[in-house]
Amino acid sequence: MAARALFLVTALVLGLGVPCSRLLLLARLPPPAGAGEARFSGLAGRLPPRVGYYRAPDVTELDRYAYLNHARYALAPVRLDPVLGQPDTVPVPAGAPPARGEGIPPGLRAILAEGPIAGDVAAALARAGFSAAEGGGAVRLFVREGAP
Amino acid sequence: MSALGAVAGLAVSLATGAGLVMLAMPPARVLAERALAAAAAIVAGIAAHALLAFAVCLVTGRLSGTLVPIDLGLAAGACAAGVLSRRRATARPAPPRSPEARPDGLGKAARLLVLAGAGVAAAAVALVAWKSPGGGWDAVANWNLKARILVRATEPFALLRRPELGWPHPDYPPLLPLSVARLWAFGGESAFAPALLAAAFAGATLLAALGAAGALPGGAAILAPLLVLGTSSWFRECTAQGADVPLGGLVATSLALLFAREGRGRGAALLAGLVAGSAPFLKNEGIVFAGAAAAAVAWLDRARLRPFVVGLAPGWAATAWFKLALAGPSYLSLNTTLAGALLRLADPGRWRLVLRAYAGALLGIGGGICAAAVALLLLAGLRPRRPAALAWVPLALLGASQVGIYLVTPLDLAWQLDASVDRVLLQLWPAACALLFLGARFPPLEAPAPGTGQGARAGR
Repeated sequence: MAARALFLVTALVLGLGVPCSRLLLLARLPPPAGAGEARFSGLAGRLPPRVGYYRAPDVTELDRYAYLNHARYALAPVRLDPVLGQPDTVPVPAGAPPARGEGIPPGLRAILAEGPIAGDVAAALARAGFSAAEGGGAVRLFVREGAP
Repeated sequence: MSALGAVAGLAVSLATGAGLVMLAMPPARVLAERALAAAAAIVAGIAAHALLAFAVCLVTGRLSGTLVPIDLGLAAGACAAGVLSRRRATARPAPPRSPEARPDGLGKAARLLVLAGAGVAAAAVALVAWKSPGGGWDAVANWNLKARILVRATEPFALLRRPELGWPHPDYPPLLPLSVARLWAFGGESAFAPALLAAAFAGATLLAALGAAGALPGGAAILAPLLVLGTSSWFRECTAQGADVPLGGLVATSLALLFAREGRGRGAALLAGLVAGSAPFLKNEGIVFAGAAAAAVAWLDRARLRPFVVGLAPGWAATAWFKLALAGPSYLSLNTTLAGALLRLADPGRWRLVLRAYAGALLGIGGGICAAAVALLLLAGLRPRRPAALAWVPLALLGASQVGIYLVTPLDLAWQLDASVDRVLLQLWPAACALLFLGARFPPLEAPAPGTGQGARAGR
């Protein structure tokens, strides 16, 4: 009798205790920052082959890693083209986006911007002809006229 | 619509798997046999269609809707062959079997707990798919990313070799991305399809653990899936849509087909070969596992070696093609030299670090609950059987290959161990759980067999 009771307790922990505790843990987790598909579903598969990439100056390395992977996932197979600085190596200093879009290749029709986008950055992109098309929060996609 | 399409795509692969099982194995009569047949149908079907999708991708350059009629043709052919084979087999008298004992209240409770736990696991997979489209870290950065490229790019394999996309490991084999892309070919891109696939592999793993642990009526076999379900890291990885839980499913299923029912015949060996041969097409560690499994079969029973090797062939051929013609460089070979790798291999400090990490991860798997559960079960009367040593050999070599990769990795060793040891252990864990309980006796669950008036015997 004691052996059966011991088994029942063990089985309850293994079969229900652990799975339910994991489920509760998952239920409390917030969605990850920059979750790609949910934010870019409208443009998925219809982007031009090359998209510019801008990283805000105060994005941490961990954030950058997460953003970049989510962006790659959301935009694949679009090639990310770092036009406003070298996002993988050199942080873009504040105010770096050119006032009239200098340095942005003429053919570039979309820019993925990651991190908190300051008002002056958004204004500079707007002056260069880009407007926010999709996304929100930490990851936004700016598209220039003529882009899908 | 996309969810329905994904379900239809999975159903097509299950139909193929069922046809292959009917073709290769005799009808299942007891719970563990049914569980093993179901596990084999799930993983063999998914693997067969991934191999077919790879061939289509090579011929047409990309995955698209043209795959659907080809997939349907494979499923129809496999089902027809399976049904014909079963009809022919039923004309012959079946060998007598001992009757299956009905489980008593406690045995029924154990089965219900496994079902309930599996239901909770399915809910968790769905929850993560809803909260985190694209899955966990590795799925976003690697597996599902490649699936998107397979369906969107005009030359997907050429794109995957480009340095801009160097992060998602261009040398990793494509079975999982092909399987996701295949479901998308049926219903369009969705976060649901990879989650559905993850749930299918997780379910197959639980079924394989039950099937591998043996057909003891109402007995210790149920402990294997219970222990897998109670492993929190396995549970977490099921929801992450990575490749380690699927590889664990392939390993457990192929070992179950080879060792759980000795003398099951050449058909089961063929199916085991197909499943084991898909492992190298899923993850690089699978190369070692499939080779070691072939060596174990050669040692165990040469009559089953030929069908096993025939089963291995499609997966091996696809892997060889991918590695020789399509794969990019491995991170193991970047920024390093052979001399550097040998120096790292000979460093005793690295050996200490790796072995300590493995010992800690093994003892603490599932947060220590698994070790405590086994201790409690031993206290409750669990009597393990003498280990089937040969069945452990492929598992041991798979583990050794993981250790070897850690020893030579050019990446920061402490970081890599911290980031992945508990995850890669899950490639071994379900099969290890099954082998732990293979043929074991557990008197509290042994109800009398009908017509015998005595407890079920453990020996097989």
